[in-house]
Amino acid sequence: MNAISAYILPLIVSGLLFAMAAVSVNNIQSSHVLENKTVAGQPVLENLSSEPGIVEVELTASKERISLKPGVETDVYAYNGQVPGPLLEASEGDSVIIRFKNDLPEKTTVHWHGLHLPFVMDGSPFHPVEPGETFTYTFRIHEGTAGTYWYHPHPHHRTAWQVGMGLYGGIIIRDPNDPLPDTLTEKLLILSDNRFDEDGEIEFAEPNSRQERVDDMNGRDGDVLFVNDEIMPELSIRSGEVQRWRIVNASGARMYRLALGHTFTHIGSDGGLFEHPKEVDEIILSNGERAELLVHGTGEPGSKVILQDLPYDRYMPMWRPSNWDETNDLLTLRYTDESPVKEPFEVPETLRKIPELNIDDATETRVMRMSNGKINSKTMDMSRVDETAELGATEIWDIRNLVGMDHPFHLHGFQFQVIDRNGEPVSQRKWKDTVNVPGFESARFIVRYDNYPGLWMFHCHILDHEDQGMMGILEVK
Amino acid sequence: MKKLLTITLFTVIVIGVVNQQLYAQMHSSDGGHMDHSITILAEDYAFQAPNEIPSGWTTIEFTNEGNEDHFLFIAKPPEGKTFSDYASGVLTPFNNVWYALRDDGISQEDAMGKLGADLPEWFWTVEFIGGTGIIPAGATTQITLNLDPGVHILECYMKTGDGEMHNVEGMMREITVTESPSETSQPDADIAITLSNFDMNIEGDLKPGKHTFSVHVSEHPEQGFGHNVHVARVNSDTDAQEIQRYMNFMEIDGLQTPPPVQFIGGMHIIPQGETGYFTAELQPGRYLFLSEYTGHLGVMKDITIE
Repeated sequence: MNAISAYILPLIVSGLLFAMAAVSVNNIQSSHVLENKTVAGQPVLENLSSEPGIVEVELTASKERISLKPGVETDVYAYNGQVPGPLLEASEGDSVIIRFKNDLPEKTTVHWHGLHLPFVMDGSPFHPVEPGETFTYTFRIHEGTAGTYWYHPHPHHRTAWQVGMGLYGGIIIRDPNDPLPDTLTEKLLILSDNRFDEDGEIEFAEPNSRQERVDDMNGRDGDVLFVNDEIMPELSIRSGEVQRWRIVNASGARMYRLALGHTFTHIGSDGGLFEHPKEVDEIILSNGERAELLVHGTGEPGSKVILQDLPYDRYMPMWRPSNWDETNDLLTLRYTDESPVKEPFEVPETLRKIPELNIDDATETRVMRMSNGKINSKTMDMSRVDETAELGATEIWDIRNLVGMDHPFHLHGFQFQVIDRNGEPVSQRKWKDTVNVPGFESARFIVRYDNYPGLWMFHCHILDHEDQGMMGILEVK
Repeated sequence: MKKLLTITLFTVIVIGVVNQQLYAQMHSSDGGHMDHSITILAEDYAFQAPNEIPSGWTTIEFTNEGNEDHFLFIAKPPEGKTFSDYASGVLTPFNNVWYALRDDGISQEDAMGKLGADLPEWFWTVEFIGGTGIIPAGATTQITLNLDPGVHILECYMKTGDGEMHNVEGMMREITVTESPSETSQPDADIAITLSNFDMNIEGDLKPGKHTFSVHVSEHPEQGFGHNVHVARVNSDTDAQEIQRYMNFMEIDGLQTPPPVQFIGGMHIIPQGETGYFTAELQPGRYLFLSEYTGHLGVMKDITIE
C-alpha cells in the first residue's frame, strides 16, 4: 500500500489540472455517442467539451442485450451499449477526460492499452471501479503518440471474461502534422472472435471441463470472427484509390495472419507510424497489437478481394486445434464501378523520425522467462513487486519464451523498441507496447521509463494466460 | 505386441528387493569430461536449454530451479520427425490415456490398449537415449551421454498437483545435436551399474561422498525400449512397494510432488549396448536404486551406505 500511495500525489496534481479544465466545459450532454457521427467507419465518443485541447467523454460499461450475430439477441457487456465500444479520438497535446461509470454487476477497470499516462490512470488491476461507482480517467496525450490504440478492462482474473463479453473499443490519436493526407479514406478494423451456445449466448467453457483446460492452454479461441460489429462485412474501394486502414487485434487469444491477395504497405504498428513504409504480402497481428496499412486499390472496377486470416500455428502441438490450418475470411473489399483514380497517391519514403533508444544507455537487462501461465516461474501476486527500476532509466528486456507456443508480451505505460529477435537485429525501428515471442524464441527490447513512476503491469496478452497470473509488476520510482 | 510394449514401458511393480553391500576397486573421478558440458535448467514447467549442441560425449548439468521434482528424459525420434510430430503424435495419445485414467476411471489395462492403438507406427522406432533421474527442487545432477546427430526431444512427464503432466504444461523442447563432434571422452566411473532384462548389478565401493556412476544396458528388453535407474534416499521404514507404485505414471497420484522419498538423480532410459554416466552424492543411510523396466515388473536394490 505504501508503494501505491506514493503515486497518489501526482494523481492529485493531475486531477486538479483536469478539474480546472473541466470547469470551463459547458453544455455537458447526456448522450455518450455523437449521433450519426463516425470516424474511420466507427461510431465515435462525442467530445462534450468545446474547449480546444480538451477531449471530454462519457463512457459507461453495462450489461446489455444486443444483436451480435444477425437475428439473434445476446447478453453482452458493452461500452455505451455497443460492441465494440465507441471510438475515442484525440490529438497529440490534448488533455483527455473520460467520465467512466461502471454499471456492470462486477468490478472492472478501463485500461488504455499502449498510452503513456500516469499509473493511477492506467486502468490496471490496482484501480478497480466497483459496481455502481464512477471514476474519471484523466491524462494528457504526449507528442509523438499519434497512432492506433485500444481500451479494454483489466481486472485481475476477469479480463478474458469481460473482454469476451464485449468490452473493447478503439482509440485513434491524431498527429496535427500527419505525413499522410486526410483525404485518404480511413478505416478502423477491430478484430475479435467469440463463441456462442445454441441459444446465441456467449459461451465460456464449463468449470473443470476439458474445454476449460484447452482454453487455459491456448487461450479462448472463438469460431465466429468479427470485424467491428459485423461478421464478414463489405467495404468498398475505388480502383486506384489508396485507403488507410488501422487494425486492432482485440481477440483474447486468436492471432491473425492477415493477407489481402495482393501486397499492401505496412506503415505503422502499436506506437504509430514507422519511419519507412514497407511493402508486404501479409502481417501477423498478435493479441493487443495494432497495425496501420495503406491498401492500394489495384483491382479492376467491379471486382473484389477478401481480407483473410491465414493459418498461423501459435499452438503447442499437443494442444493445436484440428482446424488451425483453415483460412478464415474476414471481410470483402469490393471495388466500385467507378473509373480508376487518375492520379494515384504516392506513399512518402519517410513517414517520420523515431528517436533511437541507445543500447549504450541501458543500465540493466531484465530477463523474462515465459512458461505457460508464469513469468520467471512466478504467478501474479498483487502484493509483490517483481522488478524495480529508476524513473528515467533506460533498460533492456530480454523476453525468452521457454515453451512451444507463442506468448505476446505486453508492458504497460511505456512504449519500447524491439532491438533483436533470436539475436538477429530487427530491420526497422518502431514503437511497440506488445511483442509476440513465438515458441522457444526470444526477443529483446529497449525502453526508457519516462515521466511516470508507478506499479506497471507486464504480462502475456493472451487474456486467459494473463488471468491465470502470467503477469508481473514493475515498480518505477 | 505393441500393447505389451506399452505395458512394459509404464508398468512398474516390485519383483525383488535386495539388500546389497557392494565393494569394488573403482575410483571416483570426473575425468576430463567437463570439456564439453551444457547446462539445462528445469522450472515449473519449462526447460532452459541450448538449441544446438555438438555430437559425441556430452555432460549435462541439470539443475531444478522449480518448486516441484523434475527429471530430464531424452528421446530421439526417427529421422524426418520433428518436435511437432513428436508432441502431437506421441504426447497427445499419452495425455489422452492419462485423462481417461484420471477422469474416466478406465483400467490401466484398457489404457494401455488404447495407447497402443493410438500411437503412430513410427513411435516404435523412437530411441530413448538417457536423461536424469528425478531430482528435487533446488538440486543439481550431472549426466554424461554419447549423443548422435539429430533432433532430440527433452521432456519431463512428472505431474502437477492438479494431475497434469509437466510435458503437457510446456516442459518439452527440442535440442538439435549437430554433426560437429565434441572431442571429449567419457568420464571415469567409480561405480558401475549394469542393467539387464531381469537384474541390476552394481559394482563399486558405495561409501559416503560423491560418486560417478556408469550405467550400462547389457540387454535390450524383449518388450520395451531400454532400462533406467533412479536413486532415492529412504528411511528405515520406507515401503519399497509404495515407491514402485509412485513411479508408475499411470497411478493417479504417481509422479507428483512431493514424492514419498527424496530422489537424488540417476539415469533415465538408455538402450541396449549404450552406457551413460551420472553423479550423485551419497550420505550414510539407506538408498533404493530403482530400475523401472528391468524384467517385466522392475527391479530395486536396497543399499545401506555406512
